[in-house]
Formats: sequence, structure tokens, C-alpha cells
Amino acid sequence: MTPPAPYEQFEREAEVAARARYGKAQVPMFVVGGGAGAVIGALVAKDERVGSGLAGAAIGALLGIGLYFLLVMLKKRADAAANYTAAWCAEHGWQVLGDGHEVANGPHADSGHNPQWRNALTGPLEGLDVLLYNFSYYTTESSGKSSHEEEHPFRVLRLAGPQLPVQTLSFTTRGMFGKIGFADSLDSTFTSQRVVDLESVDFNEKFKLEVHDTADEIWIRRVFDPQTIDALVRGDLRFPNIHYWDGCFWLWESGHYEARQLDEMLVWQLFGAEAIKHLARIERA
Amino acid sequence: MDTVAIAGVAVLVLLLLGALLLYNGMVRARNTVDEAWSGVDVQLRRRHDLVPNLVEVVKGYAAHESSLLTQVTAERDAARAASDAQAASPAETALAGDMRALLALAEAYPNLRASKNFSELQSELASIENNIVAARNIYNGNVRRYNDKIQSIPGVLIAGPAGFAQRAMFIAEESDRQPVRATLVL
Repeated sequence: MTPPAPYEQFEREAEVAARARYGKAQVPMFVVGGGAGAVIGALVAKDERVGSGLAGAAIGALLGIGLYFLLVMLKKRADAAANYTAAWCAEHGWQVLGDGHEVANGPHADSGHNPQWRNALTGPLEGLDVLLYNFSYYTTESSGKSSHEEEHPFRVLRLAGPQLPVQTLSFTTRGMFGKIGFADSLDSTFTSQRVVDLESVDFNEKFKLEVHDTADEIWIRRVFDPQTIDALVRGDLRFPNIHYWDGCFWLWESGHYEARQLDEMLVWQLFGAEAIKHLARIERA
Repeated sequence: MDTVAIAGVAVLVLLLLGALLLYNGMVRARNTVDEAWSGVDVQLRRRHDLVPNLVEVVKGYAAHESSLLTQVTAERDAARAASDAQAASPAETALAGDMRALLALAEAYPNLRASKNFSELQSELASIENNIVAARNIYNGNVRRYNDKIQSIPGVLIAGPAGFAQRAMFIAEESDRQPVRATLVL
């Protein structure tokens, strides 16, 4: 199967198609825009009808042409993204699920209001069933008397495959302040998860490993054995921020993905798949 | 009580609280050092336990190497007797070096190289060595953090009186850093 052409080629092809589609409208939009501008110009400035009419006609014609180019650009962008996504999915044996594919147990699904799922794709990767989608929720932000809707966009990856013998697990890289023992204690006290302190102080400072309260300590030590801990601390082995619940692994980052970033998304998925192999103790060939 | 006295008491209480937190932090750091050392110790004991088997197998094919075999056994006993990282470092380095020399004998004795037992011991040793390296890195990382804590201000002010002594790293000599070669015997 041939790999899809570069994204730019899809843009060029989509532009040609969009121009062909709206090409006939270019002159009418110019004429109608100019005519409408002339009438409006003449009505607005009664004292100088001729001059104002000409100025209005010029502005209207320009707006008409501008509208034409806007239409072409929007059509080109939408078609290029859709065509490239379809070609990418065909190459990888994936399927386009599109907008509105609700994932009720996904990250942030309960946050804010007006949740929206978009651009969902699904397919296999390294023996895993992958679902990639964009998600947004909204919050109402108020400042003084005015308020506005704030969008919180994410790109989300759900990887289903091997099951872990724990209800929940979360592996994340800590921020610049490192480990704050008090915050970890609060986390462990007020949630059904507990922060696990392994035998390496460097590991505990650098990473946060949380498991469900009922998780088996021996299993944790078997997965995070000295070699794995050492490799993670030294950077020889890298895990993304990865979470496990409802029998699936979840990864998410801020911001939506775009069609042109699908290959980057694939790298992200492979990064997650590698971590899953370690967590599920799948022997590599 | 006047304002100065109240402020003095408040400062004293804050200082005591700070010292208490510092002390607890140092205790935790020392415990992580001990915990990491027990991880190293488990792997070292696995290596010690492998020595008699390895000596027996080699003896069966290379009896002429008795001096090396005796030396490895003696070094194993010395390494077993070491109780902390400082004592264990030279003993384990010597043992690791001579165990490598034992494995290298396979080059000179084709029958030894072809032995299934020998190749199994060889790969088991390679696995143990990898675990030792990982456990040692973890231990040394914890020691570094602990020593930093008790040697820097303000930890140094209470480390001495409270009996927090500096811990030694588990040092690998140059020969010990070389990976064990696990030869595939067909």
C-alpha cells in the first residue's frame, strides 16, 4: 500500500477542486457585491450620490471577491483535512468515525459543560485497539459584569489491549517542583488512589506513580523492578504520561490534533504502546 | 508577657518545628538508603550463591585451574562477610573480576564452553549482574541525596548531634563496569 502524499499536495488538490466548484460564482459575487455596495453607498451619503456610489461599488466588489477567496480557503482546508485523513486511515487500516463519537468515560468527560467529541479515528496498532479523538468542554468564565465561554481542548488516545491486575494506575512525570510529600498524602487520603513510593528517591522525585488502593504491592514491585526504575531515572527508558482505568490505557494532551499531525500522533501512540508493553509485562521479541 | 517575648516564643516554636521536619526528613532519607542497600544485598547474595555451582562446573572441565577456583571461593566468603557498602565495594569488585576470569576459561576449554550447565550459569550471572548494576545505581542515588541533605545547611546543623553519619557509595571498579558476556553456546 502506498503512503499518502504529503499534506501540501492534498491542499493543492483541494484548492483546485474548490476553485473549480466556486469558480463560476467569482464574477457574480464581484458584480453583486459591487452593485450592492453602490446602492448602499448612494443611500448612505445622499449629498454626494455619484462619488459615494462609486466608492460603495468598489468596496462591495472587493468584499465580493474577498468572500469568494474565503469560501475557497475554507473549502480547501476542510477537503484537504478530510481527504488526507481518509488516505492516512486507508494506509494504516484505520477507520474514520468522525464527529460526535461519544466517549463517556474518557478524560475530562465530566468536566464543565457542552462536551464535544470530534475527529475520531480508530484502528489497530502493535496489537492494541486505538481510538484517537479531539475533545472539548466549556466553562463560563466571568470577569466583572461580562462573561464568556472558555474552551478546554484536548487530544485523547485510548489504547485497549492487555488488562492490568489493578483497577486504576497512573504514571506521570512530576513538574518542576518535584515531589511534594504533603500533596501526595492529600491525594492518597481523599481519593481511591494512593501514591507509591519506590526504593529510588530519584524516581519518586521525578515521577508520580499512583495506583488504586486495592492494588497488589507485589505486582507493582514486579513491574517496577530495579532495572525498570533505573532505566526510567537515567532516561534510557521513557514513558509518556499514561493512565489506566476501565480496562483501557489513556493518554491526553492539551490542544486538538490536526489532520497534518497524524504521523506525529502515530509516534505518540507508539510511545504509549511501548509503555504498555512494560506495564503489562509483555515480552518483546 | 510583652510583644518581644511573644515574638521570641513564636520564633522558637517555628525553629523547633523546622528542626523536627528536618530531622524527620533525614530519617526518611536514611531509611531509603537502607532500603536500597537491601535491594543491592539481595542481588549480591544471588551472585554469591552462584559461586559454588560455577566452581563445581568449571572444576569438572578445568581442574588445572585450581588456584583460580580456590581464589574465587575465598573471595566469595570475604564478600559474604562484608556488612555495608564500604566493605563490600572492594570485596565484590574482586569477586566479580575473578568470576569473569572463570567465565573466560570457556575460551580455553571447548568442553566447558559446550556444557549446558555452564551456559545456564553464564546467562544467570549476566542477569544478576544487570540487576546489581540497577540496584547499585538506585542505592548510590539515594546515598547522594542523603549525604547532600546532612552535609548542606540547615541539615548539617543537626545531623552531627543527632548521629546522622555520611554513607559510602557502592563503588564499581573499572573491571566491574564491564558487562558480563553471555555467549550463546550452540
